Amino acid sequence: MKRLLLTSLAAIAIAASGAFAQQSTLDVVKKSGELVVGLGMECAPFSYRDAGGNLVGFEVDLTNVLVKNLEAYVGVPLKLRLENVTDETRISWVQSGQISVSVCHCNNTRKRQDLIDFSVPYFWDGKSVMYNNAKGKKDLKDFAGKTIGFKRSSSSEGEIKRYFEAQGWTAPVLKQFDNHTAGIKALADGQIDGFTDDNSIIISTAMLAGYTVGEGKKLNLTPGRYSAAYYGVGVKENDSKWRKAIDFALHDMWLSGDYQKIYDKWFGAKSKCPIPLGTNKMEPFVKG
Amino acid sequence: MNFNNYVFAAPYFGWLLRGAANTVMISAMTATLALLVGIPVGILRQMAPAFVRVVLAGFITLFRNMPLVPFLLFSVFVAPDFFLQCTGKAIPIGFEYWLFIVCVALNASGYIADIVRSGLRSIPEGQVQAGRVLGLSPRQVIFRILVPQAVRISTPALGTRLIHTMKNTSVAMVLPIVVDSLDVAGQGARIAGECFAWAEPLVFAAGTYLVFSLMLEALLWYICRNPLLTGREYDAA
Amino acid sequence: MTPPEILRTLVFGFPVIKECLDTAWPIFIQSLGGLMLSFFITIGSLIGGAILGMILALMRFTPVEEQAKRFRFRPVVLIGSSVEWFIRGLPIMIIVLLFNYLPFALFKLRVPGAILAVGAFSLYGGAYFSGVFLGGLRCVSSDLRNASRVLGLSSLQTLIHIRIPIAVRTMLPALLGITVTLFKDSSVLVVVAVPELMYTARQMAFSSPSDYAPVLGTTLLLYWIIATMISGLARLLEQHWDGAVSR
Repeated sequence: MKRLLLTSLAAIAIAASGAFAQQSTLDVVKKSGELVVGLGMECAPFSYRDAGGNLVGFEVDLTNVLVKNLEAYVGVPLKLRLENVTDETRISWVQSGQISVSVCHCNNTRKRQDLIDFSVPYFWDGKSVMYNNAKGKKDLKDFAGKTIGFKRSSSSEGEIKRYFEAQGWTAPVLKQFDNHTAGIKALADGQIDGFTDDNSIIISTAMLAGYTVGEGKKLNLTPGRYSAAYYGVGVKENDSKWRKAIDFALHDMWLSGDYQKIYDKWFGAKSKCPIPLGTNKMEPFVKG
Repeated sequence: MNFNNYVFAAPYFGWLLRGAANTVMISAMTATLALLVGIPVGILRQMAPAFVRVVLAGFITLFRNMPLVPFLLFSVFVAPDFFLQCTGKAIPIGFEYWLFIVCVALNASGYIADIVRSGLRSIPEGQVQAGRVLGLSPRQVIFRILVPQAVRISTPALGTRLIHTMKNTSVAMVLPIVVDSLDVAGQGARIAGECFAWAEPLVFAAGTYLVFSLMLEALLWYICRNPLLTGREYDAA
Repeated sequence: MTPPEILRTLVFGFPVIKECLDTAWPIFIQSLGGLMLSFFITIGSLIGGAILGMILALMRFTPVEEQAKRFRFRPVVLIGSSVEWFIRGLPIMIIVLLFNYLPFALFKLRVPGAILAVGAFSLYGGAYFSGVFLGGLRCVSSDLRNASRVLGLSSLQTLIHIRIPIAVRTMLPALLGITVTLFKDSSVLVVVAVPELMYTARQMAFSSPSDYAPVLGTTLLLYWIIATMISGLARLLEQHWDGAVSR
């Protein structure tokens, strides 16, 4: 009886870890003809539901082109299937293989590199703190000991804590939100002193929520950045065949000019959140 | 499954322990508040004049049938505007935590009031009349006849409801709350977001709830064994 | 958005993105959204919970003749009771989160969120159902059977005229109570992005934040009205049968 139990336990363990880990995701995708993309669905401007309920955003457009380029690389027609991932599941589902890639505004940090691999960055940005102009002009330093909101399971929590520690400032009180809009609303209501995440996300979210952002407007960003953000497509750890495929698909997008088109649509001069491509300063990685 | 060893290392294990302590604290506050509101409402619902009873029946129906998550999201996001319009001042920072406790307690108090009321209702009318005939004052009838029996009848149900309320505090993670005052389920989700490991913190949180409910059940069993509650001394007399 | 638009989206959910559909599972379930999906989850978990609850109740049930004897070790009863206690000890939030993560991690099973939700709520409901069924089984136990046999009813007649009506009368109000609980608690699925009523409402509130109060208010009202209606029905039935008995 005991032996039977042990054998079956071992069988489950092997089935759970060993057998599936060997195969490259590229082969899996090629065989099934289905690309399962993990896409977040509530983060402007990357992927969100607009007022009409349609899924739109930078990453949605990016994914559509990615599939086309990947099709050319793999050589078989691919069916795109989307999985709604949350910020909590976007890493663990890649790890477990539930999704082939995750395109979910996922910042390439060292800690995440321990668990999954990332493609070349397809977007880069920095992190500042957004504040309410009614409370006066602010610098990063003024947030020592103040209440700062962050989106749960973004990398901001650890990074801002470490940055303040390194500068020798009093640690801020951190308040977690499970949605960016909720945080921006709390900021406008005066419930928190600042809200932090990647600048593109917080600016777009604030504008979609109907607040003005900028010098002398309702909300504004601190000039100093405390961290950089490099978004990469998340792929399975140690699967370089598959990572290469994704990288090439992204390169092709860049070469064909599709990337420029999508970028201009969401971050060009006429968009809601203009970030000129190329002038955006690359910043060093932050450990952690 | 990938076991990430660092979930049970510093500082994450500390987060979980703090979360467990917060669960105890939040549950204690919620339970106290729920009993303070629920018991008087239940008693008055049975004994007060007619118009008060109608109002209290409305109160019980309102909060008993209120699902917790929509109730919390609605109150937390609409309260700031409402407060501003009523008082002209911004709502104090950190109100969410207290609002959370009040909302969960109100939800539980609806159930508690119903339990107390059905405890009172199950005592036959004849006992009150008999008490009056024997020359007891109305106050004596209430405190010598009704209350002891109602307490005895409703204690097990009350205890079960409070254990349920303890488990209900796990919805705190849908609200904006300062990370240090999150409960154990919230800390589990926070670690899941930080370390990308779901299984370990969730299993820890599940274990915490199981241990807490086991302890509370044991406590309830001990209380219900008390001769004052089993009513043995009445039988012996 | 205008009020009818808000209400329509809340009831039927956002338009389904066709890339999200998994052809390995019924498309009908995956294209549900909003209140309809909440209903589906409630009904699905009622059925699943009833089956699980019946199994647990039969495991835990000991006939009256047996109860009279002193304590005897019964492994089946012990297993049934501990499973029931285990599920009851967990908050639904934790069950939902575990269900969302574990099937793929353990068994490589890719399941749409709506079906996982039905599974989680069946488990949760099963524990509560088993208590109710146990009560039902006890109240139709041997005393009653003996009495009806003495009166000359066949066992089929006993079943139809005595045991089922009594069991239904004892159990139905409690079952409706559990239905209300399941329906109300389905709102915790907001944390795992299953597009039921609460998740739809939250997404809508966050995509057009000027509608915060109306959207969240309507959602709360919808939940409250439906829960009140079901529990009102339970109360009515109880009163009706109480009257029938005393008459």
